[in-house]
Amino acid sequence: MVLYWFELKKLLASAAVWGFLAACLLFNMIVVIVQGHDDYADVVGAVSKETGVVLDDAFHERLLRAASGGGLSAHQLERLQHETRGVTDVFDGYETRTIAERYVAAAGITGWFAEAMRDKYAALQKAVDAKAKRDESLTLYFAGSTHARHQFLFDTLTGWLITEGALVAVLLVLLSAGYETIHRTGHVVYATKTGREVLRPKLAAALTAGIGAYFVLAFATFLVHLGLSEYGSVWNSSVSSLFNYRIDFVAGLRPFVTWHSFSVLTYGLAMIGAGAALVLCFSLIAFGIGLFVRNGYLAFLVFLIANATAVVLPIQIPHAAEAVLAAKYAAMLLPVWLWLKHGIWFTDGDIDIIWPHFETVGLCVSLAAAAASRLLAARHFRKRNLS
Amino acid sequence: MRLVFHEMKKIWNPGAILVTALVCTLFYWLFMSYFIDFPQGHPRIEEVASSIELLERYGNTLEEHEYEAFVEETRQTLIAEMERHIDSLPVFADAGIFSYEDYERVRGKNVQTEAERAAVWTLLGSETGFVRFRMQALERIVNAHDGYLRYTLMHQLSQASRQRDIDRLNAVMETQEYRNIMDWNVYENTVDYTFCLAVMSVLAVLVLVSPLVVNDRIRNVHLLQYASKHGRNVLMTQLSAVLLSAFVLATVLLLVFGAIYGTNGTWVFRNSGLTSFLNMIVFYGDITYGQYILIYVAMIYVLCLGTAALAFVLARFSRNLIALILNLLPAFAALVALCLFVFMHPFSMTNVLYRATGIPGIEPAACVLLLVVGLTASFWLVRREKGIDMA
Repeated sequence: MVLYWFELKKLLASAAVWGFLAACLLFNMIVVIVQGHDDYADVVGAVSKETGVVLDDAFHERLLRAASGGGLSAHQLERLQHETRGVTDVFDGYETRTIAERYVAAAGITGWFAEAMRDKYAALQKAVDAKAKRDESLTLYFAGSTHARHQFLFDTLTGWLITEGALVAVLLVLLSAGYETIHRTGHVVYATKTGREVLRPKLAAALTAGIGAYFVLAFATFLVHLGLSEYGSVWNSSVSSLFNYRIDFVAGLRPFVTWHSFSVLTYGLAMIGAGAALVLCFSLIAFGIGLFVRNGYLAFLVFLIANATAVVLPIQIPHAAEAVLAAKYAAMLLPVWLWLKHGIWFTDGDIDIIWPHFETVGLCVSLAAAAASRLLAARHFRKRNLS
Repeated sequence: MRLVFHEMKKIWNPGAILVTALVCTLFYWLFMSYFIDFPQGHPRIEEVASSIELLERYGNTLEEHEYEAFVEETRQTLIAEMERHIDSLPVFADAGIFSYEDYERVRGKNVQTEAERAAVWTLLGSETGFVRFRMQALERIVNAHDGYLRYTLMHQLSQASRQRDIDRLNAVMETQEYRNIMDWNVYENTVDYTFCLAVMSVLAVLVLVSPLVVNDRIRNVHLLQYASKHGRNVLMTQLSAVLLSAFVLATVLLLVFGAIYGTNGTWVFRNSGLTSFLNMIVFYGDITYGQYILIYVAMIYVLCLGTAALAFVLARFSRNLIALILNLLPAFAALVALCLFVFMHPFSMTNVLYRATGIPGIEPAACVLLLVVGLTASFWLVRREKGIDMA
């Protein structure tokens, strides 16, 4: 435990790490201020405190009272009344089968892959039916500003947070793994069997610092965003509100369907949690690389090149053979692909995804594989010739 | 000079070359390869083809009588070709289509039968040589030509707030500079590719030249060097090596990725003025596509040298290689933002820097400013090093 604290102290003593975190925060502030502002969404948030978020008769009565009460922009309240009047449940009679068929036709897949795609959407149909029963779509979210605010919050802002968190965590891990090389103390520290055991507290300290940095960035960024925006009771609204939607080239415009029932609050927490798990995956991979490549600069570039290759190969290689296609679908579970698809976590995914709950499966598989490879790397390091 | 080459040998070590080449290759596959297979999709293919046909037939500008003759002749040819297909293919008779007019009527219907849909798509398909798409490309030329003075320029005039811009737009109208033949698809494709190439150049320079100073300091080589006759001038030698390496790298990147881009055939527009009725954007100077490329090349050199100088400064303030990366990442983000401001529609009235400042030539000036700031900081560091206490 003492070693753990010493290792943590070493990492936190680096001025460059704090400087980088400050730069990330500054960037996030700019993003929040420039992109995050939406007057109408703030009005909806403010109104939701009085009206609640369930679009029933009581909602319309309260909305009328709020409109007659004054204080809020009449034009925007009128717009809200117009948008919420006479709405129907988008999940009533909604069929997911057509999405599956469009994806199968567009991807040109047959056999097992086509069946897997159809099975995924058959499973999604059950989630849709459950949502229809609960009238999940008949919730307010941010009404006409829902799509823009949802994209900003869970695609743009969360995306930047995960990217920054992953970068700082990876660099902390590489700093920790290469610390003895940088300060030329490796030959002393690693001269004994006990000395080489220091890797364990090193990894623990680096992971703590990395995940901690991610949470600090997330907390500070959301604090500023929430300070500048009005959410009211919108936190209790379902993310599968009728006002939320997705667009892709193949399936077109469709409702935002999640496998589970998520409110805005629980979806946000789930996104931040999954983001932390992804940061952990990247950190474990980087630690393995850091043990083999002792030059920290080169290790970081190897990490980047490995991830970029994992993105390029599934895109560039023609999917003629079934084995290549299987490799492509498996590659979608890699951390870098999960990072690229963070905006559709907890949904059915897109044309590249044939499994339900791809982010959960991907994170579990990646964490298990990264942890196993880290153990092997550490085992190898115990007997490695460091001369 | 001998010492500079020795320092360059440290920069250009096989590992660094391999990593830089891999980074560039992956960057190319991820972001740039899309722009080589150009043009892609319909009607973009037909639009570019018709612009090239105009260029080949009439030179760099399209006069009024040439435009009228081209449109009349091409329209007649395309209609005759479509009529031939309509007469010969049964799919049209099945849909009750017996002439080009019938076809257009059916195409404009909100609800079509299965037979009508099949007939409509036949003239848009490979079986008929995408003839309806060729007609669409011709219609685009007509719309662009007829609407340029009435809508495009008028809209820009109504939006312009600076007298300089108003004068320029009036000059474009009076001199009929808009008669240049410059295809919008080609220009946009080139802008996107050149922006990506600028970002790649910045990335490659940062990756290649940054570790030199830090590596020496980690190994305390600088203390050994400072004891020699050349002494503390070695930092100046390293700065020279860094700048020279950036210059060489920029040359290599421009040659390789310029040659790759040259294969897509857009160079035929080299003598065409960028302000054109086929291009949506008005430029604040009378500049051709070829001149734009030449200025771009010069800007890339300046950008790479400025980046190298900045990397040298950041490296000097980094105690180890991880700290170096932590310093380089925000610098890279800032340089990408600079590239976005400079290389997206440069020399045009829609460029962000020009819109903000109203200064013609602000884009190359921004690159030069980066170089001046980088070099000033580097020389200050070199001078400071001479008096620093090493104890």
